[in-house]
Amino acid sequence: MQGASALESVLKEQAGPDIRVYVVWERILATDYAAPGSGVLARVSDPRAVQYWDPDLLLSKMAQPVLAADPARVVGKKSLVTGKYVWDYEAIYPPGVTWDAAFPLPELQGAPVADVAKDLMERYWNSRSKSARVRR
Amino acid sequence: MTRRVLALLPLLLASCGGGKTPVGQPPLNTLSSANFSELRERFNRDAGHTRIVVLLSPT
Repeated sequence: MQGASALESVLKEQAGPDIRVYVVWERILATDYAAPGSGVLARVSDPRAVQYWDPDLLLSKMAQPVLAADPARVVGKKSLVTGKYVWDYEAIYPPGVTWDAAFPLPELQGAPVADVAKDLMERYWNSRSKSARVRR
Repeated sequence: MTRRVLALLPLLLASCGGGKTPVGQPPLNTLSSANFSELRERFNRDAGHTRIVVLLSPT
């Protein structure tokens, strides 16, 4: 739950940039027996977000083999990616990346979200401005 | 009787559609193997933007 609040704070600071957000709620803990209620969904209120409930952990099952193959790229707690399921996890993709058969490798990723959300966003924009300077 | 209802409670809650999303967002979408491609298609439709994917527990 802290992860959602951290994400919302980051999005508030990123009012201008053209961002899309996909929040996937997973049935990961014993207490996750129901789809998220309005109170939980309200934690990410940014209109650029789309929210999903994934009771069968379909996204996690698809992403885990791809992400766990290179855990060195994960900022923070790598076990949240290399374990049986991927959760409390954030990935950032620049424009142009498409999702074909396999889950796409992100430019930046980390876990848990509450700890890395701000840092990942800062790293992302720094790397974007550096690559823009190189192109000039 | 009460015990039976309590035992079925998680199942009943799991079948609920979930809450209402905030203003400006589409309704909560429950992913299944039948509609999972909707997420991938949306991700690809938004390919002109920076995109953030997060996986979280609701509790």
